[in-house]
Amino acid sequence: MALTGPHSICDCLLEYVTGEIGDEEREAFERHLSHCEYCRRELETLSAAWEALPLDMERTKPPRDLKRQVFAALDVLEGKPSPITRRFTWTRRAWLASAAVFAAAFVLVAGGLLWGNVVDLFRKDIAPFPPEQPMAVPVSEMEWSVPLQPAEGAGDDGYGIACVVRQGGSKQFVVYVFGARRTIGNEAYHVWLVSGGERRSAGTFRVSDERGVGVLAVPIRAVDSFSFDAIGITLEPDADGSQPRGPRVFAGGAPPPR
Amino acid sequence: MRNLPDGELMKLVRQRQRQALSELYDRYVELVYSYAWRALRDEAAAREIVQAVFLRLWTTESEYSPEKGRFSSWILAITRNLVIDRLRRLRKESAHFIRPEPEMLDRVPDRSESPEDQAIRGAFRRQIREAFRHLSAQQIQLLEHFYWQGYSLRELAELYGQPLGTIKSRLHQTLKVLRKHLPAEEGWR
Repeated sequence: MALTGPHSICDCLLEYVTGEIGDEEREAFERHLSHCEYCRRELETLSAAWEALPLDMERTKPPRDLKRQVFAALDVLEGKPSPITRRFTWTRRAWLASAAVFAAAFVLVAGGLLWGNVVDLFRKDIAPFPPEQPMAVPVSEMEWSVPLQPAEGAGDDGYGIACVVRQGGSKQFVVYVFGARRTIGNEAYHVWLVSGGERRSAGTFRVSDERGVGVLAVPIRAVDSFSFDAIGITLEPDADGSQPRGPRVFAGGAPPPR
Repeated sequence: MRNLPDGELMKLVRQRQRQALSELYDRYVELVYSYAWRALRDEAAAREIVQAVFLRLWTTESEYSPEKGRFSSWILAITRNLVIDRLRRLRKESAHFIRPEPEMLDRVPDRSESPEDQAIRGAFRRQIREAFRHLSAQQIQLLEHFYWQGYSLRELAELYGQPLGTIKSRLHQTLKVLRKHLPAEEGWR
């Protein structure tokens, strides 16, 4: 059956309807539409059928915590733990202790903030990020994220995500929680990644504001396919441990298959 | 917010009003999630698609204009693009990626919707299922491959061992048959 229109560009109709068309061709086709009756008529028919296709699915209720995940991700993209919580602390000792296991997967330039680039992080590795420091470039892309749920018995106010964001040529592994209890004294939240039965430290952070926001951001090698089987966050008496001593407060699973 | 049409909400989203995004989320999350679940059959992946879709609404440069169609079609087009990117990436990485058989597709997690919603959705679904009865098994398979699994026209030509032009004709014809057997009025859209 012949399904072609009178002009050669009519042949793009199906690509146009289904979105499989480049910008240039699309513009050309849209110009063409205004004077091709065949395409206008067919477009109406095909679009109607095309738009009906998703009706062929069971409606599935999304998980209830998904909204929190989406808005947590939005916070991360916006660089928006509120100004006072932009502080991020980590200790040199903790990092040195875990450097060996991380050497393969991480560029251990420094812990730091999401909105800094690697050079910035390196420069600010000791002093907390000053609250008056202006926000830097927005993060362009989130590669993946996993939700972090409160661990059993840890209360259910908290929530968080662990994700990899890309900013220009660099990538960072970011853990962002909110609703976490404020840390007192030397206390610190410690992020652990479990991979192949082995537990590794990803770093520590503190929580000092009333919203309970905490952020850990670690640059990773852009070429690495960084992953893990599970992630856990414990509340530790200090930031120096190489094994968990305190209770587990957040937990999450593996990143989705890439 | 609650009474604003989708297009107005989208304008507010572009002005960085989170409340507007929250409202659009409440209106469309089920549609987006259902779509992602239907295509991917993986909860973690479906969650991530939902997240990517709503973050895309927040950051997108492209405008939604009501004259061009319904918001649900627009958001589904964004969803489908993200789903297809993922499926194509998965296919690239694993030549042995096995799709669930069609009969498995009806097994969904037990998160039931209200009886009213179910009845309305059910009616729409019955209509399209009814229209599907006028398609051949090959035409249904073609739609499954192209629409849900995101094979490109070129990939399908290779998969079926047919010229690109033939694949396009077949798809065109399939959509025409489908349209012919859908109710004439716009109610189902």
